[in-house]
Amino acid sequence: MPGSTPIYGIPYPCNADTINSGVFASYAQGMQTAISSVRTVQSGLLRPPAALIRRSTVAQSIPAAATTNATFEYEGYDTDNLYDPAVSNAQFQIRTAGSYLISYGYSASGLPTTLTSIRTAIVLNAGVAELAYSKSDEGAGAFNVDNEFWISAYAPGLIRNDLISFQIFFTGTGNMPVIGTASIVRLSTT
Amino acid sequence: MTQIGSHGLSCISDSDYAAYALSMQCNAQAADAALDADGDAMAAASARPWILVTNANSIVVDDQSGGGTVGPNGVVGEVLYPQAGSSVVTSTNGLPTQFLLGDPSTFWPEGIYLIGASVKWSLAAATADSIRQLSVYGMRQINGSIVYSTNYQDLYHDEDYQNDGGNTGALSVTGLLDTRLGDTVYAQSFFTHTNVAGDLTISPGSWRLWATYLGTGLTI
Repeated sequence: MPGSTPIYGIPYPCNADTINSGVFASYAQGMQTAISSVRTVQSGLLRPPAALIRRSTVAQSIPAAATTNATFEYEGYDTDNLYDPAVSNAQFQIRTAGSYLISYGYSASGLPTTLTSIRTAIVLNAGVAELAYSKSDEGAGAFNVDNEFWISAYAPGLIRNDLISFQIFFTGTGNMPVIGTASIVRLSTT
Repeated sequence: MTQIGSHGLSCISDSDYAAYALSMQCNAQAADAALDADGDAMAAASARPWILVTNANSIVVDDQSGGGTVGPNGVVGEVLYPQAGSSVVTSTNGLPTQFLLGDPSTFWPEGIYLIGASVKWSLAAATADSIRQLSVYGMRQINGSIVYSTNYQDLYHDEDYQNDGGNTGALSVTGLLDTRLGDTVYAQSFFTHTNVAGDLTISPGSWRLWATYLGTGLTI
């Protein structure tokens, strides 16, 4: 009676079994399946879900006193279709469950009419939860062109189809042109 | 049969013709064990330990009218860290939820971590140009104690000044924590301010402290 290994079920003939080309074929296939299974784990480790998206050509115009989602123009890399502009150019959509590190950095490529504070947030599922938040409250006249802002969040336990977006809110008047870069990488499968 | 390589595999010679089945069985089992070990190691490396702590209750941060200075040494402020009790909500994968003094089994595993914190607050009365500061750092047990500033490891902070941006604020900070000295008990976040006109209030769930293990330092 043929046997098989305990973990990956690689089949092998026992002492009284006939050994023919079919047996060798099953043996090789069993090895192939086992190696493929381990390669899948390896792929997740060496090439985790990750993406980087940018807005760097045409600045986004952010209106005053209105929470606005940052939008992006193109992606630098994307290993898991986290960014799909056909669906939305303002979010990452989680495809593979796990815990992720998310970052967003941006600068004002010009000043609005007046500017007294800027608030940034990384949000989950269109505002169901805020994962990170930061506010610069320097007062009128203290901000300069090319002021840079950066925020980062660790989001554990994300599941498939969770949405990550980036919100900007500033107090003042007029519109503020913004360019920026967002990134996401899965650091844990759990 | 002759053993080849380092994974327990073997090959047979002409004189071992009758050992085909045994050879295939031995090789299959050796391959099974080797792949299982590799798979387990990679799965473990992919499931990096992490922890997230948030405040369960509203926190009122003193208005500093009694004195004190901004910074982690001898100041009045509030801290957030993993602990027992109902004041925090903790979720974790593989890190201790509570430190016990003198119990190394409750220390964080040695290695390199990415740590960070975010806090948002509201206030009723603002002091112009007053400071708000958020810090995150590792806490070490040194000489049986963790209460002094010398116990801090890899401290990062961010600060902002109150001006005329309304009655809310927020800060966020991230950094790397090296626990390879073997005595780090947890990561902690500290928040303080110099808004003497009144207290700052952090509503439930508005202060987040997180950490994720990156690797041993030799491999990340």
